Amino acid sequence: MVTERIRNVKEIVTDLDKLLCYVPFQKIEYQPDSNKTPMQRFAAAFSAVMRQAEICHIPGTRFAGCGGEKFYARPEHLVEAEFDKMKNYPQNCKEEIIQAINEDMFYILPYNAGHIIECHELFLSQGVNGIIKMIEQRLADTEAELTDRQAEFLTSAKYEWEEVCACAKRHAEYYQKKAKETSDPSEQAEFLEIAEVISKVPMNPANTFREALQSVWFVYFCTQMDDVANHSLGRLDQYLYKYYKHDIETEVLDQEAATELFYDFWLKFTMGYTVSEKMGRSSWKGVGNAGEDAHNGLSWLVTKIIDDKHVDDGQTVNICGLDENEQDATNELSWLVLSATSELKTIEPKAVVKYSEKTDKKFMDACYEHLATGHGLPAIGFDETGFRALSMEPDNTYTRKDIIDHCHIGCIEPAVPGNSYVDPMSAFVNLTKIVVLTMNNGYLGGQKIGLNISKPQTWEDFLAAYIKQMKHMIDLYVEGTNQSNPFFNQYFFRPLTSTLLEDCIENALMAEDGGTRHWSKSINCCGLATAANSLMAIKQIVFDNKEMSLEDFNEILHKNFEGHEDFRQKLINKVPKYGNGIAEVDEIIRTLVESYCAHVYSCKTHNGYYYRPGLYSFYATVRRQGKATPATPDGRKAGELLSLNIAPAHGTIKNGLPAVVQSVLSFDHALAANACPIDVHFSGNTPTEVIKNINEYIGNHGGLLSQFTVANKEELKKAQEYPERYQDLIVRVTGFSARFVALDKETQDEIIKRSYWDQ
Amino acid sequence: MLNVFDIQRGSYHDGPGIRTVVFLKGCPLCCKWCQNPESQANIRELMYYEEKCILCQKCVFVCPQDCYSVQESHLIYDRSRCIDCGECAKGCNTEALKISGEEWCEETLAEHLLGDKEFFDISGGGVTLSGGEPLLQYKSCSTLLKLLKQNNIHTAIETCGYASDKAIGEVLPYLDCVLYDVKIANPKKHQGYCGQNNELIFKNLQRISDTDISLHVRIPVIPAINDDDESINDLGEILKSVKGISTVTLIPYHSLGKNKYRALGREYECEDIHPLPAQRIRTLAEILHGMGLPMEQM
Repeated sequence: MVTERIRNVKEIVTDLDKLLCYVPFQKIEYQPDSNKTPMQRFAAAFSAVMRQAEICHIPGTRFAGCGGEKFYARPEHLVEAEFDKMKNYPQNCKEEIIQAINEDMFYILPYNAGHIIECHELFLSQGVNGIIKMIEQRLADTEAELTDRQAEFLTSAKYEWEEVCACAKRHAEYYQKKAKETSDPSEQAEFLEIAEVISKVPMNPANTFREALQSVWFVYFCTQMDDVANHSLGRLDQYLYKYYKHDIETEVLDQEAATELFYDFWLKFTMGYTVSEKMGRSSWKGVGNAGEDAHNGLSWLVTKIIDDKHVDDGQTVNICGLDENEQDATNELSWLVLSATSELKTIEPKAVVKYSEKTDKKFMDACYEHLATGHGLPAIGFDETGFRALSMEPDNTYTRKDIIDHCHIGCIEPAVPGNSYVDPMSAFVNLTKIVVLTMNNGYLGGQKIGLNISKPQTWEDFLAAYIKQMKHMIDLYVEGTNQSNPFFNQYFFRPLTSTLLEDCIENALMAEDGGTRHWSKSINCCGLATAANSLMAIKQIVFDNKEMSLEDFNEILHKNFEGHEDFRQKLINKVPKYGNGIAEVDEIIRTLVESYCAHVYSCKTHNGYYYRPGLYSFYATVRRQGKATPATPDGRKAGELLSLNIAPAHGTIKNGLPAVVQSVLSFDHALAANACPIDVHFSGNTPTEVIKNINEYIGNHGGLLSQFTVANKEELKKAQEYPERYQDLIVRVTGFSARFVALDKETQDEIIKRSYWDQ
Repeated sequence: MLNVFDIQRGSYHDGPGIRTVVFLKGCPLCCKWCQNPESQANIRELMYYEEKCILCQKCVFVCPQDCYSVQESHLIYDRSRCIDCGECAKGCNTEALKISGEEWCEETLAEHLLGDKEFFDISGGGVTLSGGEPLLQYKSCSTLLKLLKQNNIHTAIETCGYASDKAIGEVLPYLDCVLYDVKIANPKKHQGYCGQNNELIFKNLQRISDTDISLHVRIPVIPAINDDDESINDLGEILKSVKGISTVTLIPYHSLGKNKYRALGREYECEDIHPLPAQRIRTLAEILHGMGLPMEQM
């Protein structure tokens, strides 16, 4: 039940104008000292935030620390000369790579922030004091001598943690002062309680549920200043359970009080969303070098790192799953996460159920019921396929426990909490444009980007040529990113965050430098279905029916179908499309997926680890790379959208629900350990039972993760027209949900164009 | 052989679970509000969606009857000459020209439908025969339903109930569920709007309700035709006397089939009818609920 106190807090944190009355935007004063090293300056910038951040209180809340719009250390710590170096970065880079980036064949994100799951148990059990002690011991260990960078990392991390403690102390003083100032005795008691808790945690181990929640929130709030966003919360219902259970059993808390505390905690994560909805997400131009010349190294960086202010998103929470005896781990906290999601109708944090046949059926029914309302949460991760996906990674270092514990980072990317660096979002390869590249024998815009392959005489030749070009593009990406990673690592750091990942302290290495027990990077793709449909069209038109030569077909594409509308209609209506249960085209997609995944796994990172493949795009990518992709053989005109994730291309589902389910599951999802989300789109009024049936079917047939949209197209169009009437309409975008009316028009249009599975 | 005009896989509004709905051509009624006008005649028909035509003019050359001509950048189609051979539709890439009505032999269709068996099984779904009026093709329906039952498929039929004793008798043994449409209680009014008397319809409803087949009554609510309290009340009175109805559902009028009238060269007589507000449907449902009928929300 939502109490009045929680309702009031919610009203403030979901409304930017109200929120700003309590948590104002603030400019932090900081000047980088050029006599210091970049990492020292980074730590100093972090310290400036910790010392200057205005302490705010939202009426009704019982937790100290506020989110919202904040300064964060990066990139303020850099000096002009360093920016210049970055601008001139790709000096020895192959011209082919630069051309490929300019053609939007892929993005390179040489330093990607966020996207980790900290080891929450570490600070909950040891406290920050314990972590500082561990760092000190490592620094004192003279046997394993440290390099300058190693020593600098540990010293910076220690310094940052001390600043965290000082910041917590300031919070305690703030609440003590507030308690003195108030004449209301109940308010006074409340402030004193907050002060007492924040004087204890996160410095010391948590003992109660409330302390644990405060500790998780405060550390989250601080690590965001060291990194950016996208810190997921891991198996929250598991690591908090002992505190919850203890307090309930010893009657420190009753059910009602525990729920209120939890809802209060939960709403903390909404503050950042409320800010980013207005200032971040809608203006986020996506990632990579959007239209900029890739000769400028700054354009290689995520805009998030350089331009944008703090954006809280990707706060994924995993629930349920299996316990250490491999039995259902659903508990009261799993239910609390679900009820917080459904009762508060929040968008962050995003719950993902770790689902298996053992998961509590009643719990799943409640999830399906909520999904039928259209909220798009929770997403369902299928544990068994997840286990299989992680086990299939080459040279992996996972234990069985790691695999069972695997969670979701960012939105949908499987990773083991607390000990892994997977960098799941650093590349998107444009699979569709590679079809065009293949047709043009490796040339685009008069430049040679791909391979020169002798003219394909058969369909098999053509497909083989496509795969060669695809592998070549991946190789170019890998070469480019492997050069750039060590370069950009000189300027960007996250010392504090790294110490919350197992083994980083012991190895005295930051996450980026290979400190974590598990280390890998990723490569993702865009336009999978558009590519498969295009290949299918070439197969049918050029090779099977011999209606036209490849050259003539290519000529028509060069003209963007001008004067060939009838032929374009034929491509649209008379060539089979992925998503309709048609074996011929599903086989093409299977071939693409298998060769893509195998090749990504065969690539090595700059420090000798492996890349893992993801079959996911990003909502901005399908537009961005679509704009950069000329007309394609599936009848798509130049500049139009590419297909999203593994979804059928926009508007191509014609054979109904069973057919699309069969197509989407026609390849092995476990091959793509870095994510393979299934976006199930229903048109509204969908019975809960059907959602359940389809979800279970997906689970039993090797799906890795499903996310449901239940929305009526007509209603979405109305919402565009009358946004004021649809303030509460929530839709699933990609790995996250958002309020529909808060999205920019292009994203709204893209969602409306998506194919519904039941029509 | 069955004359089919559409097969929809993955439907979940026409009977329990996830279903495939087979739409059969031909109907003894001709309800003014019908949104599947191509379902009414039991013959192949050419549908011409003018808005999709890009004037490629292939049809002009291929048509053996010279039905097509181009005048002032418009494709003119002379339906009176057309023999519905479908030659034009074969080459029409935009799908502006489409043949409605395809002959399926029962065995082939059954096999085709069995392709989704696993979805039926996981959801308690199956196959629904709809139309048109499937009972116009009762012999073939009966053969098909029997084949489906032999494969343990849940079967349903959506009927207007205007069918002979024999037709009903032939299909009943192979049915698990009947979706039964009733429209208007007043016989004269029914005759006027639907083209036939409703006596047979209510007689057959009674007959089916005496079996243990699950029976679901559906009432399309058409503005200005049967959306007044009295019309609904009258229907309620009749339904009340029929024992063994599992659910009653009100189906709000929609106009999604409007362009199909144009495609068939027919006039759409419900041009001025606009969908009812959801609140009105709820009010009518409450009336029926008040009469003790088992209402289900659509």
